[in-house]
Amino acid sequence: MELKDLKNTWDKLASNKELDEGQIRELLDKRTRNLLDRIDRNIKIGFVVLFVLILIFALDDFLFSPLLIKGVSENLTIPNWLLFLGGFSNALIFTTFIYFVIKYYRVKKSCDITCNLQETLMRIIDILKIYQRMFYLALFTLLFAMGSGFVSGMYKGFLDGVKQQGIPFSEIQTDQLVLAILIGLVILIISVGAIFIFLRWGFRRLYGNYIQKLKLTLNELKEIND
Amino acid sequence: MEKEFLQIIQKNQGIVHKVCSIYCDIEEDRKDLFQEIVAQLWKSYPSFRKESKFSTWMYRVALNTAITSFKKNKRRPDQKRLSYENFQIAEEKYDTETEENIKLLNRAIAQLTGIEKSIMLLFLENKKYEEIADITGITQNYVRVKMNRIKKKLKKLMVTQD
Repeated sequence: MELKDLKNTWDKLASNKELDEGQIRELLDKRTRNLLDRIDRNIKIGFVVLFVLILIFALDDFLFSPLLIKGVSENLTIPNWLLFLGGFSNALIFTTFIYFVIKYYRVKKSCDITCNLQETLMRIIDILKIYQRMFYLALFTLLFAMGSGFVSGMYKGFLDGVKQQGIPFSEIQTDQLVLAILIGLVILIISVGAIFIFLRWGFRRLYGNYIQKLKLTLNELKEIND
Repeated sequence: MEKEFLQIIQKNQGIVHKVCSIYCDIEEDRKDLFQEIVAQLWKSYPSFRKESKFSTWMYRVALNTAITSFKKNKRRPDQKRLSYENFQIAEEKYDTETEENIKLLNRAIAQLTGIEKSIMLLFLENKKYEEIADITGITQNYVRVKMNRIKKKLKKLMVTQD
């Protein structure tokens, strides 16, 4: 079979699936969100969730925790460095998220599905990369907050415990102290590591292969330049 | 605007069916892709400025959607890969030679990569290199080079299958 026969064969293939206007309208009504629509929705939801979380964190740092501690003991106070750490992480999350959102909308506006194939591929890859970075930022922030909360809680609890029992620091046995620190670290590493591995696995499973596929397609399109 | 859009899609739906046929070998996937392409066309329709031909614009949206479509590789147990008979979109009865050719065409196209499929489809649709370059975003020279490679690949495939 020659190539010209391929064309003839192709021409003979006519569509029998002629849908009428009603059927096409029905398809439009029943349409589901595609991946990019879902990412767009997730970013919008993420924005609302972020504001709520930052508000809760700020209320917790400056209102709920001081009230709770006051209820437990009048002498206890939250150290300033811990408050600063909380405020700093909130500001960091907020500014980086805003930065990513601005970048995302800039890329999104650059072209849409009506651009040529190469531009469309580059745009989707860029969007997914931004989304991926935002995901890792959120993940690291969560793990950092968990880790710092755990360590500062352990440290503060230890100091207060020692203070309340009136034991001088020099009388605490070093091996017991090292053991406590080690156990704390192991628990921290295992829990933080497990959460990180699980969430990264989930993200890669969802989007990893897709990003790879798009990159391969784009490379194929650009190969002549190599 | 909806009425106008529906009419124009109904008139040109063959383009979408052909893109779906070339990119999907499962009937269910083909339906999903058809729906996604129509949805993307509807979403982008207000921005269609008539600077290019409607068919060029339609090919662009349809191929972009097909190539970048996000599919979870889940196969339901009742789904089977389509054979060449399913690729034959029309229910017309063909003579044995045409049947054989359709079979061969389907097998050959299945061996192509995503980009090759889109260039091949545009070639089969008698699009000029200029229009293919416009749709894909690569230079006309590259389209020529790519087309030659695809032709060689297809010839090789067809010789093996003959």
